[in-house]
Parts: sequence; C-alpha cells; structure tokens
Amino acid sequence: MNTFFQLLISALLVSSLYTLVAVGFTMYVGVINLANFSHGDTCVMGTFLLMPLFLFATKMGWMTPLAGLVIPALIILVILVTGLWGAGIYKILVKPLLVAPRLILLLASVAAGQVIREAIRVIYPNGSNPQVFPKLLPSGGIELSGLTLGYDSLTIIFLTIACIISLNFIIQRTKMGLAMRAVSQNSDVSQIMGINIEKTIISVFILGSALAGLAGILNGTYYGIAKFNLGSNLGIKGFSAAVIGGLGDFQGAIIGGVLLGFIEVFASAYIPNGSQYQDVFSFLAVIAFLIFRPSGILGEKIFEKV
Amino acid sequence: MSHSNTGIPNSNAFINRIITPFLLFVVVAIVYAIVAYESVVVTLLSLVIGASLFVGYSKIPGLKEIIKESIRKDKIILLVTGLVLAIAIPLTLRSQPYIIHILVIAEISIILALGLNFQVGSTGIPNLGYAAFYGVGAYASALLSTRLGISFWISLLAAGFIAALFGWLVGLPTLKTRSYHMALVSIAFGLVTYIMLNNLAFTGGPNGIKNIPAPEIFGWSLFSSIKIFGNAYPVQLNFYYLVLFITLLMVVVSHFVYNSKIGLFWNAVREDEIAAKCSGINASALKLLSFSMGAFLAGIAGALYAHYVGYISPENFNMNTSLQVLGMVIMGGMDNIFGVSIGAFILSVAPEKFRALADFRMLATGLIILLMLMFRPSGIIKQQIRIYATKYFSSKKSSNGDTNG
Amino acid sequence: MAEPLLTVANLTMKFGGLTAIDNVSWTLHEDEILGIIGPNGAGKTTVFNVVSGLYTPTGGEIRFRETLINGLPPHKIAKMGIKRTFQQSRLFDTISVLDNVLIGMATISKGIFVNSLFRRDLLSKELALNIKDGLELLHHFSDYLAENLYRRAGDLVPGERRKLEICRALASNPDILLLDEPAAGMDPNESAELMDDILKIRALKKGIGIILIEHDMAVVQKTANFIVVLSYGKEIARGTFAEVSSNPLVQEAYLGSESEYARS
Ligand SMILES: Nc1ncnc2c1ncn2[C@@H]1O[C@H](COP(=O)(O)OP(=O)(O)O)[C@@H](O)[C@H]1O
Ligand SMILES: [Mg+2]
Repeated sequence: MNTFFQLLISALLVSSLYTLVAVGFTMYVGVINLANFSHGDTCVMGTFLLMPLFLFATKMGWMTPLAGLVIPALIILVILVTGLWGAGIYKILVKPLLVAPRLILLLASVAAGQVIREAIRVIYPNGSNPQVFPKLLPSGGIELSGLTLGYDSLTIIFLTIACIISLNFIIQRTKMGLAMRAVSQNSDVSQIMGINIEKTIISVFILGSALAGLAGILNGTYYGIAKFNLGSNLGIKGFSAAVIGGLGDFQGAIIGGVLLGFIEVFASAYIPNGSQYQDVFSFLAVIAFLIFRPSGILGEKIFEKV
Repeated sequence: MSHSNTGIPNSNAFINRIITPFLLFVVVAIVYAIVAYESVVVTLLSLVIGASLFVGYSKIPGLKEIIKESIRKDKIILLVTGLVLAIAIPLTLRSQPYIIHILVIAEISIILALGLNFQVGSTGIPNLGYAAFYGVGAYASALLSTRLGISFWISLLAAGFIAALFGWLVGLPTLKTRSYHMALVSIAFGLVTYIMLNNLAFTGGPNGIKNIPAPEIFGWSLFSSIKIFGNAYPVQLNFYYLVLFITLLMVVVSHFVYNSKIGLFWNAVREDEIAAKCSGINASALKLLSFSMGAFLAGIAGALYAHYVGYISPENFNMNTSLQVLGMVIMGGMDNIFGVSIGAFILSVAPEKFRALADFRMLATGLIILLMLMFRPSGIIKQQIRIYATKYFSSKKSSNGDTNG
Repeated sequence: MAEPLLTVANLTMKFGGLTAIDNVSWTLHEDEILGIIGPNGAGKTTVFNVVSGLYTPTGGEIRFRETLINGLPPHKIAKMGIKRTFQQSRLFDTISVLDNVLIGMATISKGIFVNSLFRRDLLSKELALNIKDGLELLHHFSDYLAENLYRRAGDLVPGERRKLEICRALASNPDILLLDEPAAGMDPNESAELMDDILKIRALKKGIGIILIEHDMAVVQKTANFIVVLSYGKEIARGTFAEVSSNPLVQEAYLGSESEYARS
C-alpha cells in the first residue's frame, strides 16, 4: 500500500511534467500543423537558464532573507525569456519556412533543437556532464499516517494544475483563446473573419515555450539534476502524450500526459527489470496508438481534405 | 534548357576542350589539399576557395550551362579519371594511415547517406533515428561473426537484410499517418535501440562488442599489410579498397534506383501522396520499400564499420549519428546521389581537420543543417530533372531538342 | 446498347455529423459523358473521392462493371481503370512534365523492383514504350507540353497544368475518367478549347466513360449526355441539359447559393 501510494505520487509528478510539454506541442500542431521538435530543448533551456540565475542570486546574498520572493521571481523571469524565445523561433525560423514543404520545416525544428542542445553543452561550464540542480522548493512535507507528501512534489503538482486551469481559461474564455480555436479549426475562414492569424500564432508560441520553460525548471527540481541532452527525451515524451491524447487537442494533451506518466511509472515498478526500459514502455504505448487509434483518445477520425 | 541561348558562342572550341581537364584539376587539387595536409590553415583555405568557386560558378551567367554541358559530354572520361584517382591517391599516403582511416570512414558515410537519402530525399519521409539501422547492421554482423564464426561476406549481407527487416517493421505503424508521426516513431525507434543495446546482455551492454574479426579474402586477412617493392602499406589501405568497392557498388545501386520506376514513384509519393495513390501507386508499399532499402544500406555500412574498427558500442549509434547523416544528406542535396556523396565526404572529412574544435562538431552540424534548410534547402547540388536517353525518343519526330547533347 | 461501366447505388457519405452525399444513385455507360453539377458544397467532389477510393462510403454500393469496389484502396481502383483529376490541381511539382506522365502509367508498370535493379533491359523497353505513348498523348492535348518535356510541372501556367493533369490521368488508358471542374479559372477561349479536348478524349479512346463536374454551364451543355444535379448531397434533378436547366428546383438551388452560376 505504502509503495503504491509513493508510486501514485511519482506518476502524478511525471504526468505533470509530460502534460506541460505536451500542451505546447499540441498547440503548435493545432495552429500551424507543425511538430516542433525543438520543444523539448526549449524546456532544457529553461532548466539551464535558471541555474546561473540562482547561483547569482545566492552569491548576491538575496536568498537568505528573501528566498520566498526571489525564487518565484527567478522562475517568472525564466518563463518570460523562454516565452520570448518561442516568439523568436516563430519569427526567425518557422514563419519563413511556412511556404516550404512541411518536411523542411520539420527538419529545421530538429536542427534548431540540436543547436539549442549543443549550445547549452558548450556554453555552460562543464556542460557535458550532469549538473546538480539547486533546491528551489522547501524540503520536508506533510506526514499522513506514515506517508510523506513532500512539499516539492505538492508544489509541482499544484503549479501544473494551476497552469492548466489558467490556460484552459485563456483558451475557453478570452478573445485570444477564441482566435486560437478558430485558427486551429480553419485558418482560411478565420482570416476572413478578421482574426489576426499572425498574432494568434505568436501567442501560441509564447505560451507553449513559456510552459516548456516551466516544465524544464520543474523537471530539474523533480530529478535534482540537469543535463544538456534531456530535451530530446522530454520533447518526444511530450509529443507522444499529445499523440495519445489526440494531436491538436488541448484536453487530449492533458489526458495523454497523465496516461503516459502512469504507464511509465507503474510499468517500471511492476515489470521485472522495468526501470531500465522505462522509455520503451512509453514508446510501445504510442506505437500501439498509432496503429489502432492514430487520432488519439479524444481526436475524431479525420478525413484528409482533398 | 537548351544550351544555344546561353549567350556564349559554342564555337569557342578551345575553352570547350580544356574545361573538363581544368575542372578536374581544380576539384582534385582542392580535395587533395583538404585530405592530405594536416593543417587547419590549408583545410580552411581550400574550403574557402572551393566554396567561392562554387558560388562564382552559380553566379556567373552561362558558366553553369557550359560546365554542365562539358560534364555531360565527358562523363565517361570523368568517371574513369575519378576512379583512377580514387585508387591511386591513397597510395601516396603510405606514411599517413590516419588519413586513410578518415577516407574509409568517409566511404562508409557515403553508403549511410545514400541510404538515408532514399527515405528523406527521394520519398520525403523524415527518418530521425537512422543511426539505429546502422547499429542494427553493425551489431548483427559483429554478433554473427564473433558468436557464430560466420564469415564476413555472409554476415555483411545478413546485416543488410536484418536492418532492412527492421526498416520495414518501423515503417509499418506509420503508413496511414502523417509525416510527423513518422518522425516520432523513428526517433523513438532510435532511442529504444540505443536503450536495448545498452541493457541487453548479449549485445555486451555499454561495453559493446570487442575483437570483431577482420574480413578475409580467400583466407587472407585484411589485417595483414601489403608490401609493394618492399614498402609495407598500412592495413587501413586494404579496407580502403574493400570499402571503396562496396561504396561504388552502392552508388551504382542508388543510381539504378533513382533512374527507375522506383525512384520516380518515390518522388510521386514525396510530392503528393494522394495524387500518387490515385495514379495507381501503392504508396504504402513504396514507403516500406524506401524504409527497407535505406535500412539495407545502413546495415551494410554498419557491418563494414564493425569489421573495420573491430570494436562497437551503443555510443556509435546514437541520436548524434542520426543527425550527422541527416546533415550530410541535406547539405549535399536531397535526392541527388552525387550531391549526397559530396555532403557525406565533406561532413566526414572536414571535422577531422578541425580536431581542436571537436567539441563544437555537433553544434556545427546543427547550424549547417539549419542554415542550409533556411537558405539553400536544395543543398550543394540540387535535385535534377531526370533526363531520358535519346534512344527513347528515336522513333518520334524530334520534339525534344533539349535532350540530345 | 452501351454497357454500364460504373453503377452507384444509394451512395451515402457522412463526415461525422455531416452528410456530404445522401443516398445518390446513377449509372455511367460506355462512351457516355455524365455531368454532375450543383452549387458549392453539394458533395460533387466527395463523389469523386469516394469513387476513387480516398474515402470508404458509409452506405451504398459502387460497382465497376460487375465488381463491387467500395472500400478498395485508391491504387487498386486506379489499376482497375478509373482515373481522376483534382479540383485544385495536384501535379508532382518538382519533377518534369514527362515524369508526371510516366507516373500516370504506374498501373501498367510491371515488376518495378526486379526491373530497376536486375533487369535494366526490361526497364529500358518499358520506358521506350511509355515515352512513345506519353509523347503521343501530350501532342494530342498540347504541343507546348510535348515540346517542354523537361520543364518542372510546378513552373507551368494554370491552363497547361490542367492539361497535364488530364494527360497524367489518361496515360494508363483508363476506362473511366473523372474530371473535377477542369474549366475552373479558365477564360471563355480556354474553356472552349477544353471542350474540344474532352470530346477528343472520347474520339481517342473508344468506350471511355467520363464523369464531368463543372460549373461552366457552356461546357456541360456541349459535352454531357446526361446530367445529375446535387444539392446538399441529395439528387434534386436528372436528365439532359435542357431538362435539367428548366427544372425550377435546380434554378432555385443555384440562385439560392451563388450568383456565379446564373451566368450560363
Ligand atoms: N474531408 C472532409 N471532412 C469533412 N467534411 C468534408 C470533407 N470533404 C468534404 N466535406 C464536406 O462535404 C460537403 C461537400 O463538399 P464537396 O464534395 O467538396 O462539395 P463540392 O465539390 O460539391 O463543392 C461540404 O460541406 C464539405 O465541407
Ligand atoms: Mg468540389
């Protein structure tokens, strides 16, 4: 029972991370039908932006009196920077290539990911090796009849839920969200309806990359280490989650993220030697979906327009 | 298309006569300088000269047509000279086994890049886990020969077919889906293969496989050096010729495939899958064929690598390798066999000359791919229009003035 | 009595909640040109998509001669002898005019794998035949295309694109040709030329059945033997051009939707 409970918490944590990545992925596919393979590396960019900022703040002596204020400020700063990065990626890379064959854009996003990854490795001191990620969240936790619920775990789960709820609000209730949904449905019609498509797409890139930055920070917090090449794995997991849930569907990304997190944690725990093959289980899951239900859990069957 | 309107009179016979030898000389000089001199300055200079000649060539009006024309005219001479040089030049590098080693790796890279080009270039399928097929081939061949004592030649072929089988399997789940699903499945396959190679007992885990035997030709091991006039040549040279032979074979195969209905139908699938299907092309079968054939070449390359280096480990076949080969294809020119071979050659030789900057190699690969895609997505030598031999038009009244040449 | 080539019975196609084709039936005979007309969104293109195998119909039957072909994959249907063009032309843009036509002959290519690698002689023979036939076909429709075999299809002007698409479809000598709005975007001269082309197809290939979706009523009037009118997926009228055009339901359907059709 005890281990089961711990596993449940781990599954929720992993699910949170995957969901945050998947949401961005699915939104890009929704608005411009682009699978952005640099998304996972944007997450790691968030991780590696936070670390030097944290060291700097510590050195300046800001941490001791004001940690509770400084750390959220740093996180917000990183999120803003990755959000801006998203806008930049759209402007510099994606937009000029929208007229080219889709293959070119896809490959370019792969290359962009590679550039981010390698830039981090060569720029960050000793970047080839794993780095200790600073403890951002208070240690300790709530004791519940012999079970410990760490504050860090609670914060990660809480933050994820808060992000999802706010994003859902944006998408469902605001004008910008309406525009995003309209563009996802049909960009030609939206243009006629007077929606500023460019602005909408940029907002999606900002939101998606900002979430990626947060995911990167939370990923570092959860595992306690950061490595320059974690992004490819994280990105693929996010993509897999989005595919499982139904590519292009916001709620699908959440369902997919949660499902993938649970599959991964429980399969690793209950299958002998499973932890070595943790990633294999997720990929088997996504391949099963591609074969039997390529449109994902929530996606409807699409008839490609001719 | 027709070469009479280039503005340059065809009567200038002298220029026409020397243009091929001149071209040949320039190219060989540049390649030789890059390959044979262990100097960053020489390499850099040669690259810059090569690049500026290339840019000049495409900028000066009319020059392109003249050169194309003379290449077409002197095709046979060029091919024979190229072959002779490819055989002769390494003989001059007796004291530099490391350079011959780089050339062997370059040959293997050409095979690799040609295989990926079937998928990415001809068929338009993003394969981001290509190194896995390379790995499958290398491990298959290494295991067959170290565990079962099977001879190199059989294990080489077996490696190709086993990799092809994997290619077919990886292609299956994505036949009905979109290209980014294919990208996802291929990356996933790449990662799974890497994880498996690292964790399975029979592949030797992270330590890989050691002591892979050298190929033997009629009982003579390629690890014994040849003596000519009392001079011992490095053993790398043996491999150089063996791999050269197989590389040329693969180039011919690729050429056959490109200039056949397969290559044509692959292009159709790449350009517009729906229209291809409605034209009667079995797109699924052709995509699977592209996967399998590409993987076959990767498997062959893997086996060659394994038996050449004698030691393999999962690290040889990770995501970085996949991207490196992708870079070769994109830089050289997707769906152009010659271009892809050039891309493979440059991206495998040049980095060896900048070993001081080895740490930046993958960053450079990423940047090259990115910049090429943004500014010259067709690569160094772009995809050509298929020209059909004049004999096909013989019966008809000449409606095609632009084919005879 | 002409043989029935294609028989569609109670054909229905639903996309989720939307019924794009609603219980439609008709027959195409040998040597016949069947016109399908109707306002935008009536389901005309969807009929082609279903017949050519891109979608599996949700109800009804499609028979080619005697054979039931619903649910067959597109390449098999093409192989049986049903070829089509697209409303928005879908050429293979980065390859040549000639290559586009050669791809149109995919259904008559044999042993492509073996021939490509091991029997180059057979490939050569096949190519020689293909190119000869392809050239002849191109000459029938456009000297420009026949003289610019090595031009990229993507560089052609719209009129030549349409012609090339028709040639690509005809290259394998099909029994049935489906033309989706071939005159769209053409000026009166060009559509007059197109009419000739369509009649030429019939002269070239005895027995071919053609289904023509067209908004240009002049073209329909001159070419179609028989017309089916669709509106919101349902058949609202059928008959000769004269019968159909005097039908008040048809006039209402057209006037109600777009003025463009009124010009005929
Ligand atoms: N792939 C598809 N998915 C969903 N709806 C479709 C699809 N194709 C066509 N439709 C719908 O079916 C109806 C008929 O479309 P179509 O056959 O293209 O009309 P037409 O060619 O007569 O103008 C339209 O309402 C269209 O939106
Ligand atoms: Mg239509």
